[in-house]
Amino acid sequence: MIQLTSLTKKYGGKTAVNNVSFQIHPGVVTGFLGPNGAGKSTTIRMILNLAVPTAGSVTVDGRAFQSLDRPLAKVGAMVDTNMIDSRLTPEQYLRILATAAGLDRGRPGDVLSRAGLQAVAGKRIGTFSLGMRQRVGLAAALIGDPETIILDEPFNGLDVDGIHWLRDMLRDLAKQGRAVLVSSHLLSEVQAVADRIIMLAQGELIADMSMEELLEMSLSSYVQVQTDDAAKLYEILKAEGAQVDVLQDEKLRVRKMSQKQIGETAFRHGLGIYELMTHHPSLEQLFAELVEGKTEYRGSELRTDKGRVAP
Amino acid sequence: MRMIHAEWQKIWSVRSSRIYLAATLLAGILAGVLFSLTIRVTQGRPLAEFEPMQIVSVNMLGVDVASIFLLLFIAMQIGREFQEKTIQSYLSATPARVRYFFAKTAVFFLIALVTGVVVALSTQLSGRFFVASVHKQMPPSAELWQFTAGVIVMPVFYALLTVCAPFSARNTAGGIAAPVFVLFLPELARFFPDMLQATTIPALPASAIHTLSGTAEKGSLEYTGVMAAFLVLGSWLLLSGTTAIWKFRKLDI
Repeated sequence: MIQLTSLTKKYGGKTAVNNVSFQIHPGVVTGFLGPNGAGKSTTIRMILNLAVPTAGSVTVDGRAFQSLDRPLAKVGAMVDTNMIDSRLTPEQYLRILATAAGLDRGRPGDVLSRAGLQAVAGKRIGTFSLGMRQRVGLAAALIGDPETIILDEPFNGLDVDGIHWLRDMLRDLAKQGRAVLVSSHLLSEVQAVADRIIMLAQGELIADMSMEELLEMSLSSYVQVQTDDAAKLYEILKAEGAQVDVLQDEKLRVRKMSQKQIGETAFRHGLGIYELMTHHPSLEQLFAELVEGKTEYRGSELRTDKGRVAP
Repeated sequence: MRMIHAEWQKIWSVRSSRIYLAATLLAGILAGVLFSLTIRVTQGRPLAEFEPMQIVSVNMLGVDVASIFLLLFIAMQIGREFQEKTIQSYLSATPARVRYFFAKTAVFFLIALVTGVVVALSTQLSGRFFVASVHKQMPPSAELWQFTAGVIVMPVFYALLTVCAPFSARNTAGGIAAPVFVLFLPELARFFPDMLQATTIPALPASAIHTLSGTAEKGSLEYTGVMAAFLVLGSWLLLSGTTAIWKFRKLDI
């Protein structure tokens, strides 16, 4: 279990990560989200001891990462695949990691096969596309058969098949009881695999919850209801604490009450229901809600005037 | 031990590194021969007019050439890990930084030692050949072997110093500049006033190496005695190593 406690990183007068605490849970895929400059990469680098925290601590099973006897068996990470020596072949690179970590000689072959790299195992990494490099990085992250896998932007450069392969692999790893942390700016990809979401903005933790909790909490989540007496149901739901808006076509948009509760309430009052549909926001919408006002590198808005961009 | 093995694999896995190291040996040996063959041009006297030990030492300048080749190689190998940030992928797997530093040090020590021994023995042999070719008597064996042993210290010392430099500077340029600066310190020291020379020159690595090889004459500023020579070299390495480890451990990668 990886535990971050009050983790803070300052560069001169600038705070990159501010008092962040969370755990990376086993058996789930955790999406690690945040706008550019939010502090995601810095946090990952502190977990891996590549950056020294200004304050706070990171422990892996109660110990500092650098003091672990077999670190690759605890944490496998893919930080930036541009940082793999391009002069080596995948086989050579993985063999070096296996030797350094004291792993079985057959292990590079196993992960090469799992990453679909057998055919290019002897070719120089420098000749690879970004997607192929990502596979090499993933193979490296898996080489120690780790309990926790940390992947920074793993979907970058992958083709459609690669994305499907990675999604399946991440789910499979979580099913095996491993903790998986996936940092990505491709929110739709994270939504497709993540059970849990951790969000940072301007170095601060703004969300750490399951996807369900996040969806329930969102202002963009609502239940759309169509009934034979919209006015009556409106009054009843309001009285029971729901937030209700009446739409133009006599439909109701209900927040703070579940689909089941609305259905049961309507049934108790003898009201007919023609439509009862839960709408969940996309992760993009959630993301926008959560980081509202917290985005550091947001471009200035352009006013438009009859199709022309105003100065 | 496994980290040393991994560092060893890192060097020998790359074809250009293998070629470079082979070229280092060849360049060292050939440079010695070339210096002997061109001595009439460079020194204005034929080889036959030189003392036998001078003829051997001209050949063994090949070790200096090999040392410079090695220095560049080590600085490039370590410097590129920092510059291209490939060190991050290795430290993610082996995060114990002090062990990482010592594994690299051990590997380059071994490479420098083997290079030094091979080039020194080869150039000593070629030196003997040139001594024989001008029909002179071989230098005394003890003198010859002390010189050879002292000369081998040079690539080993500068290799270790060069390992420390890019860990401190975090780039290739700094990795090259620092040991080259130390290499040329004696030339710089000659510009100092006499009193300052008397205190600085004995503390320089070049003086220690010249003492060990027997080229520093007793009573000269360079001569320190064997124990003091080892102490001087050890101090330089201790200071450089401590700085490198401190910076490597404390700073972000």
